[in-house]
Amino acid sequence: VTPPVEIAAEAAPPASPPLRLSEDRLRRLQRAAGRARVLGVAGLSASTLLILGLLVADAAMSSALSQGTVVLMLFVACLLIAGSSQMYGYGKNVRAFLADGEPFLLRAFQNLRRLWILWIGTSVATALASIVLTLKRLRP
Amino acid sequence: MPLDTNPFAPPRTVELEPPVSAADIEPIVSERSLRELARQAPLLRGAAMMAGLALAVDTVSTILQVGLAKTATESGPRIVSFAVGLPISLFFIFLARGGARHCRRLARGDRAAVEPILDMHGRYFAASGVLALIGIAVAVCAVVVGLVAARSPVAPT
Repeated sequence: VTPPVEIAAEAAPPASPPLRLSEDRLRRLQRAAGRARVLGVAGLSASTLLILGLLVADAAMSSALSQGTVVLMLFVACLLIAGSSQMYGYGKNVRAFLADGEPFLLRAFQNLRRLWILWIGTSVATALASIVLTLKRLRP
Repeated sequence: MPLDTNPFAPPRTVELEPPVSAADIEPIVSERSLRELARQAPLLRGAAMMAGLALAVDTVSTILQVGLAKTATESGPRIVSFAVGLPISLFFIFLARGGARHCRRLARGDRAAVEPILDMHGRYFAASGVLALIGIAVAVCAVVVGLVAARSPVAPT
């Protein structure tokens, strides 16, 4: 009589071997992570400058900026902050993966997923802004 | 063999498991990471579609605005911004479409698709870096032009 443990082992699909990345691929991953970290820091700095510039311009022109402009600039700054933090997170998690292994690569890929969602949102916002601006120009 | 050690003593834990150094850790991609990558296929496809939609809207908007413009100074900046934005948008659309295709391959069980996906990530960050540099250059130029225009004497009417 075959023990049930062995039956279960036979029924299970064969486990696929673990995926090892080649040296060249690891080097490329490291380079991509470095770029992502730099972009993240640059984006966060740019968004901070954008918000500061907006505050200074608003104060200098005694709140002459239109409400629409302020809302648009703040929206762009928020997008920049969100995208930059995800890029920085990707870079940081890939670096941690190269030092300590998983689950840091999983976290890096989750950062990328949020980045793709932001990309979709940005594209939709760009298309809508373009439509609104064109309609404004077309209006007599 | 030193005389103060017992040859019949069982091995100690430290002898069985030597300390792990960073060089010993093999960067093995886990199954969960692979599944996460495979799940990104619809998102990348959606990103490519939405970027394509934004480009189409921008094209129509540019044609309308150039058609309505009365002088070349009105239509010039619009044409230049469209000409600069077109190759950048097309590049990102092709990148996202390629990434989505490889993610679908991975979802079907083709593990060889992981390497092109990682390459796509690298190209995405490289292109974003170039884009950021262009953005910084445009912003600096705009500030310089604004300062020069503010300092120049007003032309007599």
